[in-house]
Amino acid sequence: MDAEDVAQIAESLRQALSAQPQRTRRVLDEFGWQDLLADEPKVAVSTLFTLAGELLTPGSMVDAVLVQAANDATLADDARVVLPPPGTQVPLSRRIDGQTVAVEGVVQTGDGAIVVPCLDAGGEYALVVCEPLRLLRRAPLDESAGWARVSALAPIRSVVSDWTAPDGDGGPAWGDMVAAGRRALAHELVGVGSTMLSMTIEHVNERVQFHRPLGSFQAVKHQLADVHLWQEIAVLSAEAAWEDCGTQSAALAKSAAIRFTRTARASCQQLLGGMGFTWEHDFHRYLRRALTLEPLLGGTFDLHGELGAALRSGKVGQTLIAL
Amino acid sequence: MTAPATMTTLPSTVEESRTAFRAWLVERHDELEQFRHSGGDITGVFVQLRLLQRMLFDAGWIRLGWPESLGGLGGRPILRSIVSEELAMAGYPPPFSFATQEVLGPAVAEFARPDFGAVVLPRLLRGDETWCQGFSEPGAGSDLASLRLKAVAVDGGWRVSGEKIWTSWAQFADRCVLLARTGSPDSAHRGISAFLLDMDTPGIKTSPLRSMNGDDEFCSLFFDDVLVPSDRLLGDVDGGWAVAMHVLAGERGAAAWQRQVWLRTRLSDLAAANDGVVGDGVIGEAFELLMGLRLLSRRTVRALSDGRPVGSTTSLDKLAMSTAEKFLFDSALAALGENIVYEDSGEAAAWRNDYLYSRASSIYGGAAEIQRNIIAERLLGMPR
Repeated sequence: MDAEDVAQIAESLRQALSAQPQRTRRVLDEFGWQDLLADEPKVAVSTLFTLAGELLTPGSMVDAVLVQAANDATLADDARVVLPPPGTQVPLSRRIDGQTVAVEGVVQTGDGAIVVPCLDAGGEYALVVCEPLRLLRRAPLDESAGWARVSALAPIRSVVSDWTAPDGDGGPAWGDMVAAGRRALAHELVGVGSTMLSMTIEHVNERVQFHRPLGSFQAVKHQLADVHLWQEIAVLSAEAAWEDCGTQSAALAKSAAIRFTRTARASCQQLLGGMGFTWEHDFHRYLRRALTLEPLLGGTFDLHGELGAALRSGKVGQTLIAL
Repeated sequence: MTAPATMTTLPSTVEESRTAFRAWLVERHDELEQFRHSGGDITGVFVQLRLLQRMLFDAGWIRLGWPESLGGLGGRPILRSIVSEELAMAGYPPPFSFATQEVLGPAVAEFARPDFGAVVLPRLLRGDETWCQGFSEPGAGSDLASLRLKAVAVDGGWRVSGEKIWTSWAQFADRCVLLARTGSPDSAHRGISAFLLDMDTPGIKTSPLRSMNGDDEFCSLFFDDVLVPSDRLLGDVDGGWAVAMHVLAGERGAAAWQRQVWLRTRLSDLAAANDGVVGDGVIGEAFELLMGLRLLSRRTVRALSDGRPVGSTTSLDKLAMSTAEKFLFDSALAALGENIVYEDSGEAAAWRNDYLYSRASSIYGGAAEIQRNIIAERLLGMPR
């Protein structure tokens, strides 16, 4: 698939999603996005998640990406995966015994089966499917993002056997799921941050104070130049994560994406001034979404720690991102 | 084109070059070991690095990616970046004029009279001569277009008078790429011409300027009615700005790629320093910043190699480089400060030097403030 095909897919997805903003899943079903995900994961993920960030589509398709990465035919396409508590990638859910799992984390609201990555008493990773759970509805910052906290004991319905990474090292596929999820979230954060930046550029170029556009002040330019620097790096990092589909490149993509949205949140908020602080202005919706997505599957603190440890232990090839 | 005796076939792709050069590094390991530690006084270092360059030239590696008409072996320019990267990863220092080659070489290759270029460029590649860059002036730093050093047309050439500053290693240089005012004083970037002149021309005085890390890298150059033959003009009369932009693109292209490779080796050093005193989080953050720089730099190197224009995007590379470099050495200072500040033995001396030098990374080659202006105005379309 060449760049033109990808651009065409992105455009028709945009039109479809914009036409029915509240019915994302249905639109994607009609679009055949799940098939695209199976055949061309990079195209499916990079187009949809960037758009999801720009359009703030309700809910999240990250579950579909995680389920695909789990690489197990018994899992339903619409299964929901319990993510570890925001900020970390390490599952906090515990498999008590053959019948029960203590579920801790965040999960999408909805009807799909609930899949729980967890650790057993011996510290071994396991992936179990559990009975429907009562979610904690505690007025999250971004209601439309669809994430709810969960903390409950649940009966186990089935266990995914042979849950190992396809590279044959026998390790759990959780690492692959985390990397896949981070790649998707990186694209989504790029979409969120890019919209914050473009709405701010528009604002400072039009808004006149002291008889000149705000955007002509160097103090304003320099802040947005920095936001753009991190935007470019985030975009390139998200794309590059597909070159080797590896653990480190996905962590780098998520880390760069967070740096971008974190800078955009601060600078764009400041430069939008009083207008950006109102409920009417769209800015707060993007701020909410950014704050919601940034810590999923590991925030800055965890990502940097992981990357540093990987570099130290020689797990990072010197030609990662090769010429 | 024919491959030198040491290359059985001429590599044409990035991967072929990488594999072949790695094999050569292994094969010549014993001979190369003398270059691994380049300490001692600066004159001795230069002599050694010239030897390394000559060895790489004779084996053909430094000629990859340069046109045959200019002493090269042909192939895409991106192959040059592979050689510098592999050299650094194997733990060898870059040959002395490596950076100069990438900064000044492409512009001279593009703008010099063909017969003149065919003479001087092979000498640069072989390490027979070194070049310096006469751009900044006491009154023209980041505002380069306001430079005042004058070149007046005379019979057979130009008479040059004025002053340059921040010229790296001019005391060792055989030639200088010089920007001079050939238009009216207020002609800004429209009235500048570029020359490649010989540093032993009568009337040039070089005076080293010690920088805060203690090196005599930078020099002041004084030109007193210096005669430059007309065939030394690069490009057109009053067309020097295009040459300057070409030089800056090289500086932010392959030369920046070399620098990020070197910064990566320093990050590994930092990770290992004092039995791992620096936390994983700090190492990871520095790594993230360096990889961001690497991505931007790769984009630029690829574009330049393919002959695509890079425009103002290299200002992003420059800003990313100073940000990553300062973060890395700030982290070194935070973790190893006791040694860096109170000792200058061995490792500590190198950290101190690199920390101090990193302070200039957001100043040289166009200050970070200028880069931010360019990014905002030309890339984001904000009003001037």
